[in-house]
Amino acid sequence: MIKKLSILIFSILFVFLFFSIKQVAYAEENSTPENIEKTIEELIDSLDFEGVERIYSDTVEKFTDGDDFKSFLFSLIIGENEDGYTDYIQFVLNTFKENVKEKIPVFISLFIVLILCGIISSLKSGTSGSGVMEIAYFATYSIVLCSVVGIGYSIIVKGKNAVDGVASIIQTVFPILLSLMTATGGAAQAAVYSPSAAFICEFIVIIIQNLIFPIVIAVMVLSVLSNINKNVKLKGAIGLCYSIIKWIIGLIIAVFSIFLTVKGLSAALSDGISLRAIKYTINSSIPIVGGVMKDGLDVIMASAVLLKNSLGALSVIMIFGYIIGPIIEIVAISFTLKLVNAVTEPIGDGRTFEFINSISGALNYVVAALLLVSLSFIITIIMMIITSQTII
Amino acid sequence: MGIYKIIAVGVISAFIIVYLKYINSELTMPVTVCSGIILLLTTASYVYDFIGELKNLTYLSEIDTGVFSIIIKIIAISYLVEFSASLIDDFGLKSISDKVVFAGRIIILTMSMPIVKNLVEVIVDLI
Repeated sequence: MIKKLSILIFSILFVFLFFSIKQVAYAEENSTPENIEKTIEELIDSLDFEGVERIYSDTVEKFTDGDDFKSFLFSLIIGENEDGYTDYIQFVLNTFKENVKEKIPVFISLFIVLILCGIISSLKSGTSGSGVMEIAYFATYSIVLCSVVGIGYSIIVKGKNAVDGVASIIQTVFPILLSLMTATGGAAQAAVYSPSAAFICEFIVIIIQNLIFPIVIAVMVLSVLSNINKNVKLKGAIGLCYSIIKWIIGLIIAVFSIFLTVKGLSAALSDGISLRAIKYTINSSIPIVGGVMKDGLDVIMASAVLLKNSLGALSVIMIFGYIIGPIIEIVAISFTLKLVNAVTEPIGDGRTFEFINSISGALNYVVAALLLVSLSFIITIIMMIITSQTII
Repeated sequence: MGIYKIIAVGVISAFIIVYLKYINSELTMPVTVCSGIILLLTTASYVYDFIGELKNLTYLSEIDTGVFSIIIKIIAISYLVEFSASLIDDFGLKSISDKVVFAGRIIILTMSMPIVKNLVEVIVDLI
């Protein structure tokens, strides 16, 4: 009886005490976003970005209202970057217009010579004088050949320089990205992506410079020869060259993408497992402060991963900024060539039309080669960003 | 308009030549030559205006005026050679017309040598 009474009294006292507590205790604020920003700033200052800053000032700075590299990278990381889509579109249109304006004298001269070719071909009559007109036509056609081949060759040189430029951007940016990846615990991924960078710089660029561009030049030479005389027929050879280029580009993209995707994902999983193992060890083996140290490690890792991903995104922007100029230039010249060809088709001979069409088609592969090397790099960066999410 | 004059000259010349074939066939040749020359001279002013406009366009382009004048001369020579070769053919003297055509080809080739040389250099540079 007494025992039951004492239990009842203690329960009532306990409930009374529980509901009479008016003090509320707050945990101290961790201020995690500020910690991350501070860590990121320290990381940015500790790294050497000299080469990347040079590339940034050549490619992207004109779009960023004069922000220097480190401020722009920090604004990307914290998400304060404003999207100036209208500026980019305006830049594209202005570059296109300027390139067309610059080439207007060349295209007017081509237009005049094509009109004269047309006059000669329309003056051909009967069989006795046709030999004389054919020679006169050959003389004016030679001028068309020289102009168009000169334009085509200048485009190939621009394409070659642009591919070399992209390769140098890859060689500058990749070591920093790989070292950040290793520092964030992605050692296995770095081991996968390091050969992919070498693959892009060495293999793809060498294939483009030593195989694709010479084949494009061969197509130009074959176009010249096949249209000089009606009896010389080389369209099959030109078609063969186009097929070779298409197969090479398709194979490179397929093999590279499949290899990178499979290897990158599997490496990310193994890195994620090893990092989780490390965190568990820290948390469980170090008494009292193990949990704090694990959180500290998380902050540093998150900052480094943010920095790596933002640097990757900035590299992609720099690549776009670098190749957009040459691509617009090549597209503008190709477009104007096709326009002149279309305007002079009614009055000209079929041979000049076929020749200029063939050259314009060959020049599209210069753009394709430039996009191949740029997209290989961009795919690698995107894979590096995506697969690092599985680590944290 | 000038085209009516040209058409009129051509049709009247044709009538005269056909008529003269029955009356005095020896006179058809000189009449044919004269009508051809008159027609050419009638179109000369239009050709002159056209070449003048093309020359104005060349000032906007990169074509050297020397190259442009070579092309015009080549076109003129080729047309004159063809015109005279067909006239001589009408007289029935095929051997002389062939020789005129041959001479015209040589002259055109000689005049176009700098252009062909430039073309060969461009192709060799490419290869």
